[in-house]
Order: sequence, then C-alpha cells, then structure tokens
Amino acid sequence: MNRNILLTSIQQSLARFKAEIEIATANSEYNLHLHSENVLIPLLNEVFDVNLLNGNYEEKNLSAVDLVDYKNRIAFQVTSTSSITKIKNTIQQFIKDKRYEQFDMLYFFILTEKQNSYNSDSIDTLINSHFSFDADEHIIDNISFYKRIQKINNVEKIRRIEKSLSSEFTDEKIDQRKEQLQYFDIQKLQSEKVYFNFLELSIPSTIYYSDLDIDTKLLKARITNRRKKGLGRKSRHISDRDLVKEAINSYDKDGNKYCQDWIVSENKLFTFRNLGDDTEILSKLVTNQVEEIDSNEFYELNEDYKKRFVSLLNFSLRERFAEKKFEWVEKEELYRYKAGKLAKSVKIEWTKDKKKSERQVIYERWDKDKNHIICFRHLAFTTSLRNFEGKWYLAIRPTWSFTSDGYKRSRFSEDYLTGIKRLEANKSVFSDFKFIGTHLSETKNENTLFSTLTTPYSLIIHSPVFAKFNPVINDEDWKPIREKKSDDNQLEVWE
Amino acid sequence: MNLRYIKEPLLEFGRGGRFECPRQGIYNFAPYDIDKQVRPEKINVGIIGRSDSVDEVLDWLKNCRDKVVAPVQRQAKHPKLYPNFCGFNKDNGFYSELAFDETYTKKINNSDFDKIIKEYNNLEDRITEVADLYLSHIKFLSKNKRPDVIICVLPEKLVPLLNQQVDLKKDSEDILDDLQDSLEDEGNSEREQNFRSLLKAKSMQYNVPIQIIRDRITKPSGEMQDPSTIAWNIFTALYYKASGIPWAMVKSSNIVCYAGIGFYKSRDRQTTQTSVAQIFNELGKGVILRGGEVTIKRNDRTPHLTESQAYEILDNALTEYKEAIGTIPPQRLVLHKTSNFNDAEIAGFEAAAINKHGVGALDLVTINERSGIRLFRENDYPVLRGTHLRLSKENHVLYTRGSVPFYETYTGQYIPNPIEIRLFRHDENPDIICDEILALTKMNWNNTQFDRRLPITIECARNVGAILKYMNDSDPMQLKYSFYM
Repeated sequence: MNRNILLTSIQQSLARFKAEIEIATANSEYNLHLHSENVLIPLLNEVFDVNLLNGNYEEKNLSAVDLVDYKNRIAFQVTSTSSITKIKNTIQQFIKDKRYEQFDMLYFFILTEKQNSYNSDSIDTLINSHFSFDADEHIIDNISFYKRIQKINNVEKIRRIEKSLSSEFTDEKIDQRKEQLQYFDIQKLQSEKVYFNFLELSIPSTIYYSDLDIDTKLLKARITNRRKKGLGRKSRHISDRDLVKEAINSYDKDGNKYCQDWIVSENKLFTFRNLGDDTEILSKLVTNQVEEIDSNEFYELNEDYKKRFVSLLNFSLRERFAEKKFEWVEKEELYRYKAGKLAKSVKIEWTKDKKKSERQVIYERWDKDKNHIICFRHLAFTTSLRNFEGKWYLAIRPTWSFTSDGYKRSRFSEDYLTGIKRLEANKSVFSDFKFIGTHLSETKNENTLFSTLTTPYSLIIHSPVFAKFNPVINDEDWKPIREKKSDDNQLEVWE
Repeated sequence: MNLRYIKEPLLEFGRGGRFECPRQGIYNFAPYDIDKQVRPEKINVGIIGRSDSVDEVLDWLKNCRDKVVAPVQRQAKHPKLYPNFCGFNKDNGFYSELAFDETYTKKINNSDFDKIIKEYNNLEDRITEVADLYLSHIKFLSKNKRPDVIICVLPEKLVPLLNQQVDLKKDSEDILDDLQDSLEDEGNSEREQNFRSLLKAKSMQYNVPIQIIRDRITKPSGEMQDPSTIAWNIFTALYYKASGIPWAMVKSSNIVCYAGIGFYKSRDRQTTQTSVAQIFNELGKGVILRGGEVTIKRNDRTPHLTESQAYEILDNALTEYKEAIGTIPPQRLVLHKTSNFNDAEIAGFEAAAINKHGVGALDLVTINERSGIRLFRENDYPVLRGTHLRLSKENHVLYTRGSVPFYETYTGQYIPNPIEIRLFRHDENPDIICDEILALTKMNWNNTQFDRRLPITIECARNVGAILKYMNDSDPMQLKYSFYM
C-alpha cells in the first residue's frame, strides 16, 4: 500500500471511531475506559512516541488526566466535551493537584469536534506559568490528529498506524467492545469493600535488655534430671531459651505467672517488659545493669537486629494471644483456640457489625451413631509479621486445627483440612478472619470480654481495615460459586 | 498503600486481532503467525505406543479435525470457560492440519511392556526400561522420518506402575485403586523418579519435541478435563511444538525481553542446586541455558548465585538469545526469580546486561509464591484476578488467580493465594512490571485456560529444571522451551 492509500484508510478508521464514540457516549463517560485502552492508547503511543497507560486504573482515579506516561512526563485528558469551561476546569484541577510536578505536558483529546478557537488569555491566567500550554497544539480532535499523522514522513510508521487502526475497526472488534462496555459501564459506577488480612500494630516504644544472671549449671542439671525421668524429650539439645524458661518456672511458687514475651541473644535478655521494675519476674534473671533502646532504632540497626525484633514481637504476640485463649501450637506452626480441661464445643460472644453475636470456635465431630467424638475442630490461624512504609503489620490467615481430644493432633488432620477447604469459599474464610481480627484487636472496646490484658507495655493490635475497590462483582449475576451436592454436608456435620 | 485493578491483559492473534481469551482469540482471528511466511500449516506427527492405545489416539486425532463439543451442562453454566474446540483443520481456527500415516506410527507390543513389568520390580529400572522402549522408536522416527512432533501414547494401566513402588503380588485392580494417578508424583525412593522427565531428557538428543499423551484422554472420565478443553490444550501445544506461535503478548514500544532464573535440586536431593535461565520475547521465542552449581548454606537455605555466576549465566543467555533470535539486544530486560536478589547477584546481572550487552533498562523482580497477605470481599466470590495491592514502592501483591469477569466465575477451590512481587532494582514503573507479570501468566501454551497462577518465566524455569536434572552434563540440551513443556 502506498502512502496515500494508507492515509485514506486511516482517515476512514478515524471517522468510524468518531461515529462509534458518538453512539457510545450517549451512555456515559465510562465508555472512555474501553476505547482508550484499545484504540487511543496504541494510537497516541505510536503518533507521539510515548508509552501511555490508563490513569483510571489508579485506585484514586487520577484527577484531571486520563492517560499518563510518567517517564515521558506527558498526560492526556480524553473528553467528548469541547467547551472552554471543560478545558479550564480540567486545567484548574491539574494545577490544584500539582500534576505539573509529574507531567510537563497536558493534552486534550476531544472525541467529538473541538471549538474553532479557545480564549488563550483566560487559559494562560489559569496556568500562571506552571507549565506550557498552547491551545492550538495541545487541544486535539480527529481532524487535527489526522493532520498530525499526515505530517509523518516515515512510511513504516504510517503503515503501523494504519494496521493498528484498521484492525480495531472490523465489525468483530466493534461488537466485542459493545459487549465489554456493558460490563464495565455497570461496574465502574459502583465500588465495594475489600478487606486487608493484615492488622496494623502499634509497637511498644522501648526494648529493655540486660545480661543474664542465672545459674546455668543448676538449671541444666534440673532439665536433664527431669528429662531422664521421661518428662520431656531426652535427646533435645538444651537451648538458652530452655534455661530461661526453667529459671522463670522456678519462681512460680512465689505466685509469679510464666511469661514468654522475651528473647535471649548473646547471653542477653531482651523484652518490652521493664527489667528495671523489681516486681517484674524477668528482672530477677538479669543483672542490675538494665539498658533501654528505642524499638525503631533497634530493628533499623541491621537485618540481624530486625530478625531479633521480629522474634521478640512474635513471642510478645504469643503472650497476648494466649490471654485471648489462642494457644501457639509449635508442631503445626499455628495458633488455635484452646480447649478447656474437658474438651467440648465452645461458642464465644463477640460484637459483629455492632451487634452482639455468638461464634463457635471449637466444634465436635461425632461418629455416625453418636456414640463418641471422633475429633475436635478448632478455629485456628497462622500469622506473619510484615513491615512496610515504616509500619508493622500482622497478617492473619484463618485455618483449622483438628485434635482427637482437644490437645493431640488428629491422625486425619490433613484429610479433614483438605475436605473442609474444598467446601469453604471466600465468604466463610472472610467471616473467620473478621472474627479473629476483631477478637485480637484492641481498638474497639465493645468487646469487653477480653479487656483484662495483663501485659505491662503498650502493644496495640488495630482493627481490620478495608479499601473501596472497583470494578465490583455482582455475585448474584454469576452462577453460585459451588453447587450444593449431596456429599457437601460435611460442614453441617460439624455444627 | 493502595489498590488498583489490572484489566485482563489482551493477547495478540493473527490478522492484528486482540482478545483476552486464547481459545476465542484463535477461533476469531487465527493464530498469531497466520500471515508469516514460515508457520506450521501442516504438522507431521510421529506416534509411538501400544498398538490399541495408538489406534485409539489416532481415531481421536482424526475426530478432532472437526468441532469437539464441550459437555452441555458445563457449557450451559460457564459458556466462555467451556467453549467448543474449533477443530484442527486448514479451514478455520489454527488453519493447520496434522499429517500422519502408518510409516510415522511405531507400535510397541503388549508383551514388551508386560516383560518389563514382570522383570523389573525396582521403580528406577522399570522407568528406564519403558523409556528406552519409547526412545528406540523416537530415534528411528527422528532419523528416518523427521516428524515435527512425536506423540508418545502412554497406556493408562502403565501409569501407576511408573509412579512409585508397588506390591506386584496384589492384583492389578487393587494396584490401580491404591495409587495416585498423577505422573508428576515423585515417589518415595532415595532418588527422584519421574518417567515424563526422563523421557523428555533422553529424547532431546534426537531434536524432535515430544508430546506425551495418556490414552485415557480419548474417553475422559468425569473428574478429568472435558473433551473440548483437552483438545484445545493438546492442539495448542502441538502447534507450538511444531514451531508455531499460537498467540503473543501485546508488544510494547520497546524491545523487551523476559528472563526467568531458577534452581533445581539434583535427583539425589543433595545440597547443591543448579541454576537455569531462560530468556524470551513477547512471542515466546527464546533460549534456555544451564548455569553453574550453587551450594546451599546452612544459615540461608535460599540458593544464591555468586557475582561471577550471575554475570556468566546472563551473559551467556543474552549472547545465545542474540544468535538464536537474530535481533539486536533488548532495550529492556525483566528478570524474574523466586528468591530475593542479594548484592552479588544484582552486581553480576547489572554487569552482564547493562555493561556488556548494552541493555537500556533492567528490572530485577522477585516473585514470591508464599505471600501471607490476603484480600477479602464480603461475598462468596473472591477478589478479582488482576487485583493489585501496592504495599510500598518495592513491594506488591498481585492476584493472578481469583474471580474472572470473562469466565464469570472463580475456577479454583478455597480462596486464591496471591503472589508477592518485590522489586530489587527497577527502571520501569512498578505498575507496568505488575501488568506484565499478569500478561505473562497467559503465555503458557500447555494450557488455554488463561487464569494461570505463575508467569511463564517462573513456570518455565520449574519445568526446565524438572527435566534437566535427568540429564548428564555431557548430554546435548535443547535451547527451545518446546522440548521441556
């Protein structure tokens, strides 16, 4: 194809584009989303030698601009309104949001027809030298865009533009866009809540540390002696942590409660508890030379200190969760709701969406004849600590732990877990998360059941949060996620 | 921290067509290379297998020339997830046809299989013997007939016997009941045993890609994929293995290459691991290379390359890429790895890509499969595939599995597990890097259902490693991915 034929084809495609837009924009501006993606972005990228992307995908839709190229610092506003008011409003917003710090150039692509002229004085006053703008050059419509293409010398480039345009305006492509538009038009108008599974933590500001002052020899002998009697695993190496545990337990008789929110490193004990406080049991295990360090300074020292900090935070959370009856199960690396001395079903009260509600946390599973309990299903969760943008977060993933008697892991745990996970969909996992997240967090005081926290430092777990998100899914428009089958009664068996 | 939605990436098909679904894309627009001078208009296939299995598969291949209808119930529920297969013929869809005749067919006697099963109780020996049976025929066909692809048909009853140690005193029905039916299972032996990997590894020397097909695909049971999905997947793989390009990523304005670095353990599961790299462009054309061995340290179980190993593997990969693909070096290179990058690796990769090969922009990206982060909607369907959570400039979470508007469903069980993306060095905008990762999940020609979890860079590294571990250093290895998938 020679240059003239190519240009004629481009002109025809642009005319079809304009016609399609005119029909489509009768519905709403949201149509731009699809047309921009398929037609305008590739076209403008080719003509302007840029790499635009759709700014409307940003969570908070970028104000005043639709298509952006951060690298080349260029932005486009795509609109079907050609009035000076629209131009001025956009520029005003652009300046208000200091978009000129990100973009040197702002173009308007008028999908209909631009005005014959725009009052440049009023625009210049608005712009106030923040960036350069020439209405003739920076406001484009189909006709001026075509003129710009006509000026391109490189025939290969014109060929690419022609190919890209003609392929977008086949009957099939136009039909496809119509189909997709129906989905996006509806979805973009709404938003829905999306919850994060991580809770923000306010960490204690100070870490106390001091050299250990314990009778290692004596403690070792006691542990070995007990292990010899068959209490505990014989072959296990005695760690520094074992020694400190033994030392704390030796004070039990004085009415002190065992605590686990500390770590040992290089013969030093680190904790958020005030080691200078004589009433603090841990103070009895260290020398009088107690030192303090700012928590932030501690973990920012290096990767090694960060690991120690994460470890301390994890042990402190274990202490906190234990108070809320979620016990740490080392073998399964998870927290599960603790059974009482006599294992049985447990329901606890909590506040769900400002209403008092009951939540089952331990379920019994009986045999067919209801003669005996086969196993217990405990609500459980795994955690990971994360630090981003200077803040600490606790990520929580709900799961289940299966025991034969409330304590011992059931032999069929894995099968039960696979079975139940096959039946659970997003809603039920979210419900588990929301319960656990609310139950563990401190900021909402409605939950008075667990307000008797005893840790003498301020480690605050904040409530679950959400963000608004679109597009939305209308679940009822889709087929149910799972068909109810006759063998799907497993969940009920547990109730 | 904020959320955004990445719309389902479009793929590029023939005649300039773009669409989000590979199947409908091929059906509407033909494969990407339809207008290219060289493409597999006719695919000569060789077929090897037990006599009755081969006949069954031949009939199936013939039937697939015409439309293969998806099960009515599944299609009524999710029409776009279960489209009919368009038929593999020269008049529509792939616009290509299979060619085979008796001279391209090698039948193995039942008694040959029976003899091996009887004589070799040891799994490793049995796998080796069965593989040798196929290999002798692969050698013959490749030397005398030069087919484009060789289909190795595996009788269903043989599959459990190639999987793990079994008690042969039990009768065969019990054996079938007892065993897992996956060929991918590693078994319990000291050395890993995998028939598929062994056959692919040892057949590489004959320069013809192979396609292993289990004869049960001709009559799929309820728990298997449906007949039309099986046809879509197998014919797409055959077209790709015959050097066709079924679809491509939508090209960016720059020449971009994607590379994946992986590590694989030796079959005896020793503490050393070998590195492997592949590098390819938007069309999926590229090369695969084996790198140096790395030793796993006690205090850090993550394999890391030394600076010189990182330099060497990327330098070799880029050099081979240039020779094989015949283009100038990429303007931008994106490197994916499943573990974090340490300083030595960053220095090595930078030196090779930027200093030696003049790559303009380099992105070093870790793709972590085990993110503790989850997002929840309040309803039954999970969040959308394409949900992108920016945790910070360098840390991102991307849902590559999730609810898919095009299919109007979520195709997984339980809740989707997103991948976590860490940028250790990046020249490109993080959003674009995430967009590309989502697009790369669709570049797997073994599967036409597009909501895959991992980008092909990582999947490829894994598949290649699984096969390379069955090769000796002296065995000739192929550079093309079609020999590993």
